[in-house]
Amino acid sequence: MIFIATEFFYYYGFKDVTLTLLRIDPSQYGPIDVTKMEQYFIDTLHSELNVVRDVFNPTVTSETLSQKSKLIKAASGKMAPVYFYNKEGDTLLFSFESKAQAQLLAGITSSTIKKAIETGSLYLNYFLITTTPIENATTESQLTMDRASAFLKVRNDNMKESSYNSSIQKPILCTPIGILEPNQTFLPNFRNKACEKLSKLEGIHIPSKTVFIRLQDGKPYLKKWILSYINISPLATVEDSAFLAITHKR
Amino acid sequence: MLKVQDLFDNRKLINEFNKGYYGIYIWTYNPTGVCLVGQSTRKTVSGKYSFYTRVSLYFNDNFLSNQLRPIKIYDFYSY
Repeated sequence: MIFIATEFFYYYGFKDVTLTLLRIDPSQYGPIDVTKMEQYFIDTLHSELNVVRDVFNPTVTSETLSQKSKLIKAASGKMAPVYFYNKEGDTLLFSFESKAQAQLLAGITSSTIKKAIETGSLYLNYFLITTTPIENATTESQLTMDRASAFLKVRNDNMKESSYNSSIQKPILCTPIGILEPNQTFLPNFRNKACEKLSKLEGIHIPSKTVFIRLQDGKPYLKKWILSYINISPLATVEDSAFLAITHKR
Repeated sequence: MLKVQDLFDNRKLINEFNKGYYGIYIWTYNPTGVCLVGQSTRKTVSGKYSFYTRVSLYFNDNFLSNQLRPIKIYDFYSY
């Protein structure tokens, strides 16, 4: 916790910092009361710099620390506002003061925003993101931050669901790591079949969702298998594309 | 309750306010409202409660330089 705070002071300095002190009489209250009061302030002030959110069960993961650290670094940069328009770019839906704020309030990472701006692609197939306001767009129907967060969550869930469903019937190539023997590399037509076959080979139940996640991130499954989709041209048969994929890997 | 802005110049005030008490401290970055909440119920070497030691860690040269060793300490102080 101290490290995060010092890092914060490094980037911001003490110039615009206020310290508020509350003193509590030890003859009337015990340490537990002080801890309860600390928890109260963490909850009510939404103190972003507190790594430990629950003071009675303090657990800090390295992920939390690195996330906070990145957030502080990002926030210390130039405050470039980020605007979210609809597909057509004629209505401003909501905006954030900075990329860091977008990450803090809506969970949209700065790399996602950067990618969307650079490539001009629509975020979640719906939002046009810019760092410069569009002059002709209407700003009257802006959403409040709560409604914007809810809207983003729904869009995000829909995207995940449609991506999950549309990939169910894609052929999958399962390749063992290290050795590449054609008889061990197999190609189930559907994700369920891939799960069945892998389950038989490994002797454990392998859920379809897990296979889906490994297909998305490309990480080895059980440290043994590389799973990947195969793009098949309409004319090629499944066997042809499997053959191509295997020979290409060799 | 005590609110302090010029922290370094008001170290003595902070120390006097804290003597003999448990304490809650809240650091707030004014432009954005980002804050850090902490507490101290420890006693000093002399046996008195004082959370000044805890609070002053944040503007202690040695502490900061140990935390972020490669960075020049003068960079911290923009006040």
